[in-house]
Amino acid sequence: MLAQSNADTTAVDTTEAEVKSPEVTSHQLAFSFDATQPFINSYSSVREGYEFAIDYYLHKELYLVLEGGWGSAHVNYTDLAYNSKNSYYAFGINKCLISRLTPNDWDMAFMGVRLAAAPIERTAGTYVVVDSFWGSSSGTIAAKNFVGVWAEITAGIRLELIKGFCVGWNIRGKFMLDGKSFKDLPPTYIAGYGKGDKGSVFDFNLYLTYAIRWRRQHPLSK
Amino acid sequence: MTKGDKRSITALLLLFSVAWLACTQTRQPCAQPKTVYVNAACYHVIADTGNVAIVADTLLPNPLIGVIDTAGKGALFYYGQRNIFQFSMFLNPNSDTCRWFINTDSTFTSKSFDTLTFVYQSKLQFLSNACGYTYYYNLLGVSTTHNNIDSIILENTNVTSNVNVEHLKIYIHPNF
Repeated sequence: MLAQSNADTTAVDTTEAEVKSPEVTSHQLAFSFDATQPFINSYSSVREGYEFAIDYYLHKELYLVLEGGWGSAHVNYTDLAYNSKNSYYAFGINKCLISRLTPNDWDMAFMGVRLAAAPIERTAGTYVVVDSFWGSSSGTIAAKNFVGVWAEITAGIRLELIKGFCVGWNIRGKFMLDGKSFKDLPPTYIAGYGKGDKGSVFDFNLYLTYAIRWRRQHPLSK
Repeated sequence: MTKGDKRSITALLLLFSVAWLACTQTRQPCAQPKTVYVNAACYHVIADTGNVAIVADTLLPNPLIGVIDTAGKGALFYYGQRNIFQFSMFLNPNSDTCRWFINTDSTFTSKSFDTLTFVYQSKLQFLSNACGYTYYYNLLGVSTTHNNIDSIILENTNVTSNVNVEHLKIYIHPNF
């Protein structure tokens, strides 16, 4: 009886070892876009942005991630007015933290890191300093082109609802690495980052994803 | 993960997404003061050994403190506040000098008023997109008359949004 029990356990372990090696089964390339951005764009008169991501399964539950997007901000307050626009590019990795149930199980709970850069163009800005006693003063801030660089840590989940179609959520902590460029009228919105006048921001993405997969040629079959 | 689990997680996170979107505001309210102040405190010497002067806070019994505008007219900002020893003054961003008057008690005579004259440089300062711009100052000097004020010491020349800095020590005349 005991011998039978040990044999069963060995059989289960062998199956799990096969499940933990998806690199011998498939490649996956996933295309995602942030579905929250069109909603925010539709009711915000200040900012517009679009964010996309591509990830590729490397091995041992590691994914190479490339992200990008573009956006603009249109500030027209009574005491401050300017426009800005930027694109952004980011790369990094995600590490899936949960075990697969089967080799074709691509559901994920993950953590990741990113390094991102954004070339930013800001037009000349006009300001008014309101002073009810001495009288208000106004002036112009010169236009500026500069590059913002930031790092991110992220965590999230991705669930495959229909074969190849997934939905995913990311939360992100973003930390501006070169704050000096942002001291003089940073844009109120930087696509990919968020509020330009904050040294660190918290952000959230809702991704709709389509994943394509193809079989990996087994090394022994060459 | 079962299909039921996926549906539950998806529904939960969609609700969170809606809440997140609802929290996104067009412009955050400005949560910091836009006017910066010169902070002053009053002292008097209670003992002088020749090498070391021992000083103590001086409470002004019923002071009148105000600004003298560019047309030479006064505007009162401290009136009816008894026994204060610290007070704050703001500067004119459209000029490089500014005058404030101080009467240490409300029973005043022509000899009880003193005038503080500030000489400074204004510096435009970005606060945030929510607050816009304001002015910070670099104090170049402060002078005073000597009716009830014995002397003044400029402790800190940078006038910023830091409210914890004491810029000016005002020594009240020992006979007051």
